Amino acid sequence: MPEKNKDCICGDELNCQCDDLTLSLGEKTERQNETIPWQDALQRLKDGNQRFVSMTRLPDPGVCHYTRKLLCKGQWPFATILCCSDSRVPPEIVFDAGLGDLFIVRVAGNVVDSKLLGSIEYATLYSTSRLIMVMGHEFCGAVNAAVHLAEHPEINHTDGINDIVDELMPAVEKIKTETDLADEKLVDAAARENVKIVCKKILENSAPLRNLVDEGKVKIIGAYKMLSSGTVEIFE
Amino acid sequence: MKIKVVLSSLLLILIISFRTEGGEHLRKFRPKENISWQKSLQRLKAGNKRYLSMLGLSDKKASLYSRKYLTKGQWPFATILCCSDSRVSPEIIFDSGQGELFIVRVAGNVIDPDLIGSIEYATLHSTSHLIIVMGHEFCGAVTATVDHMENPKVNDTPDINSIISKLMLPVIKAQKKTGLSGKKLIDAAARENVRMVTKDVLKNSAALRKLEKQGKIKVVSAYYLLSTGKVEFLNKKRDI
Repeated sequence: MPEKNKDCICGDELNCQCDDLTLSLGEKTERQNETIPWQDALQRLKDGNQRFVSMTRLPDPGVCHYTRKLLCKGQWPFATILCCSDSRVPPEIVFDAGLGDLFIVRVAGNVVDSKLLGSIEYATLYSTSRLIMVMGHEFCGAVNAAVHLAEHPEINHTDGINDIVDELMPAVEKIKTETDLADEKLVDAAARENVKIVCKKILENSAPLRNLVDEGKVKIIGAYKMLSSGTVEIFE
Repeated sequence: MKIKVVLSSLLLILIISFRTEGGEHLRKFRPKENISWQKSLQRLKAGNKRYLSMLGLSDKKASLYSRKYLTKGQWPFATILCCSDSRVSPEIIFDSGQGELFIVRVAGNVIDPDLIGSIEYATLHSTSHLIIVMGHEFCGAVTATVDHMENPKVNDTPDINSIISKLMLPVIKAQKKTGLSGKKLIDAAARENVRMVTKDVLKNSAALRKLEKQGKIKVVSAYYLLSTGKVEFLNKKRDI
């Protein structure tokens, strides 16, 4: 019977790995409280997506007792992601991230309103995350609904869905006036345009984030997930 | 010679078993028919059990096959409204893969028109008939609200305040009900908030209310315990 590790915080006596990780939880949380530069965060996201695309995902990092116990003390996400509610774009899977890595705001059509902006501000002002990513995606149902509604204004939606569609309309209108795309190509171009519009909107509507961006401490970046290949394109 | 035969037959069995697994997967991703909320709830409970026992299966569900299939559409089996907190990723704690869960996330799992719209979109235009409102232990947004109540001088941005003002009602209600303060109040308030939001989802959407009356959909309250990894369901046992 191996001697019981005094600093064990996982309680899993058989498979205890606390020795290998960090002995002192205090030290670990201390170090984790430092903010993470957005450049490092972006690299981590790119690497994670690469692993997802090439099907070489890491063994699930979210399930060990150690992580679970550590995360009771707080959260230290390295990035904030605003993306669509669509079941096919979960950032944890697309960026091969574990429990506690990503602060995630999700709404159909990845639009932004006061409560969603408040969530992004909360993560950026009170946690370690310094990168804000707005991620759209191919075949977005909400953008598709907006394109349909632009062509058939007689369609009747619920008030809640109309709220989202209204917010997507500027992107659709812009692509329609600037190009003569239609159908799937129009949906794709409008979804990309919407990401750019939302990035601008976050800056315009939030004074504290604008200040941090001007100081170079925070970066807001657009991205677009291709469902067919799994690749996330980053707008730089 | 014998060894060769044995080895090659073993290899064959291995290949066949892999292929049938792929076949099962194929069937799994063709649930165009609507899934009853009772079945969905069972699937979620089973997923949380796998997560607790550390037998995660989610890797399989990110396969190249499902990726291709999902360019044709999405067939999620449940919709989850939960907190943006990095520690409550539903895909991980319910051990599910791409294309299975429609997820709406905002700090403090509150609702507003855009978020109701997202839930309606999933329920009216996809296969999901179960809506879960999930709160969690140590919620930062609820903690901030309790701080605000105890020290009203704290200054936050207008947008963070819009979340806090939504959470104030459950905090006050929980305090009146239990008389607790500090950490225990945070826990009680987070649970109260889940119950209130569950009711508000139906209150704010005529379309969802109608489906719920017909027994076609169900809104269920849940609470995630960070310390143990377990998801508790708060509805009365006979209801779910």
